[in-house]
Amino acid sequence: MDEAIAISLFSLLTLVCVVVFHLGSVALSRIARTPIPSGTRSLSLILLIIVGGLGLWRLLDPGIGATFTRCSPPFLRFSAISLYLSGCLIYFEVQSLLSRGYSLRILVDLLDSGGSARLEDLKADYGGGMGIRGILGKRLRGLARLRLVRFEEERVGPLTSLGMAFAMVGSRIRQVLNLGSVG
Amino acid sequence: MPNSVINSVIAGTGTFLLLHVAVWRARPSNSPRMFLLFLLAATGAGISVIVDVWLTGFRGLELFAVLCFELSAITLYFFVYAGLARSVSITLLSWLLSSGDRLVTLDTLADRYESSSRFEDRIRLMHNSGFLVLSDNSATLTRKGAALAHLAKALGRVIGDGLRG
Repeated sequence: MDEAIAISLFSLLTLVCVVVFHLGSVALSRIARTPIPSGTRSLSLILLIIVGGLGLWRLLDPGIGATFTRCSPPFLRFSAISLYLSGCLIYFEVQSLLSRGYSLRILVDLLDSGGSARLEDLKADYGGGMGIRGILGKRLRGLARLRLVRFEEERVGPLTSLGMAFAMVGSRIRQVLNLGSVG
Repeated sequence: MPNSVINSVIAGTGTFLLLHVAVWRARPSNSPRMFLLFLLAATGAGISVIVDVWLTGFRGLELFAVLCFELSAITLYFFVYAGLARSVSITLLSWLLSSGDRLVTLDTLADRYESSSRFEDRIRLMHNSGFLVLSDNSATLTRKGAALAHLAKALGRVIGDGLRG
């Protein structure tokens, strides 16, 4: 079981390095007053994750020679990568929640209103004044950047083939899971 | 890769997904029910361990591998489920799918969204979770909700441009 502990530690260390690098780049861009667009930030995080994964894979190569990293049996290398990727997914999800979380933002709006607000005001001023129209516009611009839909000058549609595929799969799974009025 | 590891992970993940679909269809709810989902996932992980032990006896390293793969499969599903259960983007995509080739204005989508109860459902879920209190058409943060809001604001600034929604 020493190998299992070593693998867990190396996977965790690699994940910590990726997170530290990512947070460091965000901090540096803030200090240098050069804001990085969120799309570029996400892409750089994905690249960091890939580089981290490749580094971990190489580190655990049985041929390298260091006994404490030698993966025997070899399928433990895949275990290390899967553990590392689980951690990366969790970080990605937390990061997404902390930048785009709809419900979390409602709580922050309430906090900024002194802790209490009427429901109509919460809705109208959602996201620091964006409102429902603002959040839908923001989401549509994101979908357009991902080439899922056309969105120009307040006119939306039609869906691209990729957008249709996502929409069909998403709707179908919501139907199967009986998720009625969500989102 | 030993077949027993693959078979165990398939058995565990399959059990989790079957239980998930069965429970969600038998008892529909707009709440994401993450804790229940976590319990079902733990059941699936338990099944994968039992299957692996049944197939190969108690081998520590293989069990470790099974748990690692099970964890990554479950984490990936949670990631997808979070989008399915709460995503405004998926809602917009499904509305646009039903519009076919017709162009729709942002105002039309906004009116449709506002006339649905989606925003109010989120408020109600947060009331049920103890983050705010609903009364007379207004919402008030609880201490738990205020603490979460403060934390989200602070962490949002650390990881990027802050929590924008």
